[in-house]
Amino acid sequence: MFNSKLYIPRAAVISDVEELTYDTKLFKVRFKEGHKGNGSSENDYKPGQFVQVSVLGAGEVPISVCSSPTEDDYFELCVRKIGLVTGAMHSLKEGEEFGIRGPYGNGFSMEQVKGQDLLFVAGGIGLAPLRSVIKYVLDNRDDYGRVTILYGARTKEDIVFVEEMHQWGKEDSIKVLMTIDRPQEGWDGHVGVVTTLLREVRQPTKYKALVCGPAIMIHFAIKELLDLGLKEKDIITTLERHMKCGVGKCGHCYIGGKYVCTDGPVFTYAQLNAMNVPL
Amino acid sequence: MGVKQKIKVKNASITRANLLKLLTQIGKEKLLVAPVRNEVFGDVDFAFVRTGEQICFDYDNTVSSPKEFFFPNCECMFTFERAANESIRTEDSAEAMVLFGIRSCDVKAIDLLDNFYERDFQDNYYLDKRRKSVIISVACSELYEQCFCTSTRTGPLLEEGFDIQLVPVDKFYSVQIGSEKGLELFEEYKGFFADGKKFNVKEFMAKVKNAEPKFDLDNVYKKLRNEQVGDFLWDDIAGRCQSCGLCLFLCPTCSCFSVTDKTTAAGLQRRVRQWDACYFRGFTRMAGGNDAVRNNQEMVQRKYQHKLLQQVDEFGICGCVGCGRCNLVCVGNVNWLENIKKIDKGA
Repeated sequence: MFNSKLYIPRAAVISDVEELTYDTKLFKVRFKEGHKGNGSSENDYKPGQFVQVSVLGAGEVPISVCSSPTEDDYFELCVRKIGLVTGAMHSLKEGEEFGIRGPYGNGFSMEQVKGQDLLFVAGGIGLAPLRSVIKYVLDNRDDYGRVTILYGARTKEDIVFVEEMHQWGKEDSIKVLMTIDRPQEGWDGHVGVVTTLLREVRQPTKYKALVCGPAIMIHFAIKELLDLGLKEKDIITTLERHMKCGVGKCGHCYIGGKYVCTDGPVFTYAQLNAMNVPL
Repeated sequence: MGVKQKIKVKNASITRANLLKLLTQIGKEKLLVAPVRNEVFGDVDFAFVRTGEQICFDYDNTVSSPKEFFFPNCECMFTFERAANESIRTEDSAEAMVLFGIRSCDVKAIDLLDNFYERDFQDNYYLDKRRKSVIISVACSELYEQCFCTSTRTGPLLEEGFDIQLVPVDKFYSVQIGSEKGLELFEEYKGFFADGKKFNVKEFMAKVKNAEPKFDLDNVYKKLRNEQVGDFLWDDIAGRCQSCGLCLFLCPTCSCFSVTDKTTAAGLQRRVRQWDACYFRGFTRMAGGNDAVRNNQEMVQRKYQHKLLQQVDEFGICGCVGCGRCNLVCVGNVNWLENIKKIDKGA
């Protein structure tokens, strides 16, 4: 654990802020030195896990870690300005601090998908938790098979990590396809929702699919992946929920007999079905 | 360390006159919580008392559940200054307490909460208060109008899981001591007690009034598990529910909370947690407006599944302990018990 006491955040300094889009920023974070009650180091997390981020006075929100534990002495948070706390986060500059608790949640089981072909389907800022997995795979390239990344955003201004995606696409046996929802001036790439890119995937049933994005996108992506013949247990998604504690106590993320914060947020579609979660 | 260290049940007895003296003595020396009758309105609720005379012994159950003594409606988690994480200070607010007059159903509810707050991550705001408290519970010799603990198997008498249990028998109480903490308190005030025989549960239960179960819990569990509940029941409840959250605030097992940062007029900054309720319509809504619970039907259904399915699975204790408080306060005339009966009969 980053924090040694359950509900007490640990001071972390913003070492870099990058504006990804008009409403999304990428924060690079390091724990403040000499802060008493130190916990574990910055790379002690699994892809797909999240942290509770405090801006004291504004509140606390769950944010997925979007960097990979293969990177040392920092972690990154990709944050869209959407509410009170994320608004307060956006007002902070390099050198200012967050309070961090975590990491929480089950994360993606990187062991279980070893040797497999991986199909990432991401919508908007839903790329953030998947970016952690993608970077992890890139840093352990021999352990995993083909990688295909399908990414969709509403407009070209909403695309996050655009340069990184171009970089990933240049690697061997990694294919990156991007699309935006509607035609737009200055965009000569794919147009249409992200699921329209699924046609471009050859031998889809060879893949394990990792899906993250807005609820409506997850709904259609899963539906089409099933139509393509993927098995329920081979479709993995990560859920977004309202959370206050991150440790299975506050009750907000409870669904179908599980707590998304401790039992999830990563579930296979087979699990979600058994839990009767509407998607 | 567990909140409760169970021991082999030890038997004793106490007269009514001595119980009054005992409670007065405890009230002098310790923080004592007991049922008190409101002189204006006539109802009974828990309050801090100093003497036995203040305590009400003739009551069905209290208006509120005793959970608030371990899980207060508004609790400071820590204080801080000017958004500096290093300025965070916590206070150990847990005080040693003796709680008298808690009913069997509420003891079971606390048992469930103990398990809940201890599992995975330990919530010490709750657990510290529990570790320092001793409960003297009082078994019921009848099921009152709103009660159905025999249906949920959470009363009227407990066979284990209590610190000290008093069972009313004629002019005295049979006393059973079931935990280390209970034994410690008993030893401290030994002079007030007399010897007691092993309590005859069967004999007592045979005399309990209105003890017939009102529904078959296993059948209700099965119906919910197999989704054999008609949508019209959820529609009906969803239509009546006014989302006031009262049933959940009074429920002895409900433990959901929200967390907010607050600044007092004096400039003191605090992070506080407050009771929250899944029947508040914003409970699951996220920033940006997306809501995982799409309508009132899903909202109300969630509660039935949580209490009557999931908590039975996880803790072996029904998430409804049959106290009936929720039915007494509902402004929309949703009757939890009647709805469970409908599920049982195949609604």
